[in-house]
Amino acid sequence: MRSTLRGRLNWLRSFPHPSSGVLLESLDGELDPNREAKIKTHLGRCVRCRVRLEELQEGLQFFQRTVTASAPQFDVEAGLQQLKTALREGENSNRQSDSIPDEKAAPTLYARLLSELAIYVGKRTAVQLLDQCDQELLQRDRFSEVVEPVITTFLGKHAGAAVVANVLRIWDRTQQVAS
Amino acid sequence: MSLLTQGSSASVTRAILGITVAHLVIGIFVHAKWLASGDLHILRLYFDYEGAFVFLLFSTFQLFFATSAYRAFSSHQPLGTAWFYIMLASVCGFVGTVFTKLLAVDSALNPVNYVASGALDSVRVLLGNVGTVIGGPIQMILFGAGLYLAIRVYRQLGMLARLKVTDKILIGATMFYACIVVIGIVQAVRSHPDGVTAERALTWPGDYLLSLLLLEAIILRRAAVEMGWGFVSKVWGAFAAAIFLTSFCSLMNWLTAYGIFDWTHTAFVWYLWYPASAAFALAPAYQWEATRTAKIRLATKVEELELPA
Repeated sequence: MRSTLRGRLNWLRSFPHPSSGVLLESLDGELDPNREAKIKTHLGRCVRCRVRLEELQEGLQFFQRTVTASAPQFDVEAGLQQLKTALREGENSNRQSDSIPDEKAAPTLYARLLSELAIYVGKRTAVQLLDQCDQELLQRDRFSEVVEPVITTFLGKHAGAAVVANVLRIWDRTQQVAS
Repeated sequence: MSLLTQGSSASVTRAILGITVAHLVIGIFVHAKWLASGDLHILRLYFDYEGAFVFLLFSTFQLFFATSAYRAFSSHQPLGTAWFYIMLASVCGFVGTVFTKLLAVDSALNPVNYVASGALDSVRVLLGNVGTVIGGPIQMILFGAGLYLAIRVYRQLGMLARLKVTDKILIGATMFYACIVVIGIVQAVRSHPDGVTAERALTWPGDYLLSLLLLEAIILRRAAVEMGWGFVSKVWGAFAAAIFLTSFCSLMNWLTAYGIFDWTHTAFVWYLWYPASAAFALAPAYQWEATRTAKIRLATKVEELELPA
């Protein structure tokens, strides 16, 4: 039994958790086929990375709805399908209906922050910045430390402060709604 | 952009793009009419009047938004210094445009025709040469300094992306372009020393500096692409596009001037200067829109930031 468990652990270690940047590259179709296959295999077995991928997709869909009228750059249908599946799996007994329209599903905190930051610094930089604030949970204090210098560097003091202040109030509002 | 700043007026960047497209569409008709009828008058109307107005408009936009972008930074911020040089470059661009597109041209819009008497041609040539220097090499040096500082900021933040094969090919093409410029200058001086005019010589440093700017543009473009398309990458991406277009037009002019291509085959380049000018105006306009968007979104209620389905 021990050897089976060790074998399983070794197998899991051979597929380290991909970073959000790599997941984003996977969504954009920029990984080579070999790496893409490994990511897909890992996602098939790692719930945490699947959740992170869904958060990314949700954030990017939210961002696309916010800023562009043009066709999204990744497969929205697949993303929406995954989101529907996740919602159905996670729904509690108090919900009235099985078919919750995707437009009315409240975006997660990660999705909101990603969407708002991506307006200014682009989705990849936004993902990288949020990754630095993410230690199992997004850290609010860490967010200000990490994000504010980057935003104010590119936009100037006042606009940078406005962006960060706006993101933090979106943060507070999303947490308020969630609780 | 109005999706981001709900309730605000039409976007400035859209206006610049719209004016460019409209002007080019008119240019297509003008060019077709000229090819069909040989009527030079319509070409002159297009370039000396409408074209001059468009160049002046874009250089005014560029100056206004670059100044606004510079003011948004405090003195110790590195990008503030970058925008300072870009603002100075925009001043040179504006002055150069006024001199070369208005004061050096024999058109009814030129006030020199009404105030100067005597050798009008030589006055216009002199003003054109001054404008070429200010709007050429001096502007390039200042732009180069600004873009260098921007690249340094990217590097300090660890956002400078590794160059890909296509970038390296473009850099190779840039070096090739710089060599063409140098060889062309040497050949011109050797073969026709009497034919080397002051007007032509004044453009040489600008062309060489353009190849250095092109190198910076390639690096910035890669950094912008790797960031993902947000306001920041649009700013530096627009600068990169402006420099690419200007370099291409300049190269075509060189090759035409030295007989490699016939001018009838490169006539389309006359119109490409307008998108290049638009791109130089778009870059600071995106920066302005980013700061404006940030302030408007902060002033908007949080609930209203979430768009309806």
